[in-house]
Amino acid sequence: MAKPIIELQKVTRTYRLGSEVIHALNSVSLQINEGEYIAITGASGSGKSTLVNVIGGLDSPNSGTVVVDKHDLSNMHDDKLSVYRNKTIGFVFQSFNLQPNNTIVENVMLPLVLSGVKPEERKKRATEYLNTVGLGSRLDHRPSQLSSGQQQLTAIARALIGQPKILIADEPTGNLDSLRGQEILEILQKINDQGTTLIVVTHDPNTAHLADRILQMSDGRLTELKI
Amino acid sequence: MGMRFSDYFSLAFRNLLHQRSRSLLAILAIVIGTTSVTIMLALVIGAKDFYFDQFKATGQLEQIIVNPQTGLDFMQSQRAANCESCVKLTNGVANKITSYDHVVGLTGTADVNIFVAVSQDSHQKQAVGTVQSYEPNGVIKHIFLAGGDFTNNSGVGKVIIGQNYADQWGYKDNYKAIIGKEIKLTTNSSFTGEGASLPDPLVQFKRCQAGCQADQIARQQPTVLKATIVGVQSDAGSSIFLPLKWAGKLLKDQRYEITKANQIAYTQAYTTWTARGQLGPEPMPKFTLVADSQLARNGYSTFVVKVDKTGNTDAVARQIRKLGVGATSAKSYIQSQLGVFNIIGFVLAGIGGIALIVAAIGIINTMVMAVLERTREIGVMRAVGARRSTVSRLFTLEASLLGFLGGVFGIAFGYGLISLANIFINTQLAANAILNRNIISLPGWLILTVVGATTVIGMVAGLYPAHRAARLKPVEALRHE
Repeated sequence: MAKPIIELQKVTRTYRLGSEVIHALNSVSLQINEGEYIAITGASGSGKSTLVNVIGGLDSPNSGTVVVDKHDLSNMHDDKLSVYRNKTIGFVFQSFNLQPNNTIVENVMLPLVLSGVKPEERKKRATEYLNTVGLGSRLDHRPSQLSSGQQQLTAIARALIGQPKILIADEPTGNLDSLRGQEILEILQKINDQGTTLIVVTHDPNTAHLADRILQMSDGRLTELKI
Repeated sequence: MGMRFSDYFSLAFRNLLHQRSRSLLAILAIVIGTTSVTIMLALVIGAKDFYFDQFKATGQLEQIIVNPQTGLDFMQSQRAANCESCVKLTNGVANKITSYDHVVGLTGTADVNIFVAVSQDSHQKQAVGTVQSYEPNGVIKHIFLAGGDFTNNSGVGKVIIGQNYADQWGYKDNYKAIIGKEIKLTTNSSFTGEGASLPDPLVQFKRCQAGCQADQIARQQPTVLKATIVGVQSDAGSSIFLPLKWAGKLLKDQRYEITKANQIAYTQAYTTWTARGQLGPEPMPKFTLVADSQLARNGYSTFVVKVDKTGNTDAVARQIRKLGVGATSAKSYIQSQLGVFNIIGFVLAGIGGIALIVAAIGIINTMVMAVLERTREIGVMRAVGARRSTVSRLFTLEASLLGFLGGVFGIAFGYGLISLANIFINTQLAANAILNRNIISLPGWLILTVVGATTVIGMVAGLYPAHRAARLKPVEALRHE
């Protein structure tokens, strides 16, 4: 029996761009079940990123309700929302967003640093996660010393270290060649197989077809596509 | 549950290191401000302490100077007053003062203004500055370069000389060698105290029996008195000190007089002698030496009163003033003098303070730049769970660290400069035979205050940049290029 983990009700998010008001999300309602693999597609500027940012607690809607894992995000205080981002959500970005001055093991353990985990413990866990993505021998390298694929693997390790229920990947293969992209998608698939709810934002139909469900955004509106 | 305390520090440190040239410039500005504030304050404190030590070393902090004249300050009080209608400082007044609570000692002092020159061996004769006398009972203390105080109050023929005389006579590098040496003190020609060679009254009488012209009267001659040096003091380098008992003997007006009885006897003898046809030697009147004590007539120049504690000096001085005499403590004098130092201190620290304000603006600028540069990094931190408060604290801490490091290096730099200055000043002090060394000091409380202040300045300067960093929206920060 599938349990809903994400529920959006008439969520609207508007931006003001000069005098123009842009509806990034226009009354979007959505339900995602635990363990599902969701692909969100759509043209550039259609509101895909805004949708996942709202789900991930990085952005707040103007109206509507967002309930994730029984947390109502709509009126959540910054402190709680930060804990939510730290514990419930893992983010993977198109441009990796690693801290360039830190080694990759330091990058991976950043969420644990923020939640106050002891230094030995977090180092141990970060090392474990980097081992699973095959970067165990590169712990003390800086991001600039790694290939793009390895950087994205580091970002995935960072997203997973807090053992989130939901992993959000916003164009995770956008900056990679197809071979590296394929590798990343396989790893994401594995993570999803182990029970983590996975949301992948992509404009690539082939990537989208790997998902259980494909949602398409267009001008701030959501439509569900059948596979 | 949030970030660990130690992680705030290590993160802040690393962030400062990653932008080290900018951090160094911000720190440098603080260092300049701190160094100038530190040096200026240390100078004022050092000058104050040095000044204070001078009073402390001579026991003046527990002293009250009583002068017949009222309304003088501590320094003016130490000189004899020229005051005709004033209350005389007699032994009676001294006894009253000694009976007061908290008074533990008293000495009268007398200025001995009878000497015109002083010489030692074949060395050049020196003019005599002030000559003072006191009872060597421990109330008045000197800073001795060699020798020490009079060992008894009688002490006729004993002197303590000021450093300047010893220097002039070539004992600059070896004051000890002059102890026990003899000096010759030449009096003025009106000196008639003990030891004066008064002209024989009979000679004078004979010569002027038939009446004398003014220029025929035998003139009193200057007297040369010998004295042994027992000490060399530096606190009043041109003064010579005598024991009070000796001064009492010197401050006498002696003259030969014919008493009434002797006058009658002489008149009879002379009449008889004349009646007998002036047979045999002419009878002469009998002269008696009469001495009149100046101290008894005029009273002491001052009383120096010793009180048990510095804190009691003002109260005892007030009590003494009720006797109609002037009484001042070094304490109130020093306080009024230190006021000047305080003003200088405030002005100098104010200049340094302006430098620190400029430095604080430098920190604000540095940190605002850092926020702009690290916007994306802030976004990532927020995305993986950093709270607004975490970001805000981190930036505030970084700014505080800039202030703290600036303070520490500024103090260190200031300390170095002060040490150098002290080396220079020490040679000057040694050359002037002043015993104090390292007079510019950097007390612990000043170090803590300065470092504390720069840290707070850094923290306050960091508030605005930290607020800007915390206010960044995660989504926008992540999009920042």
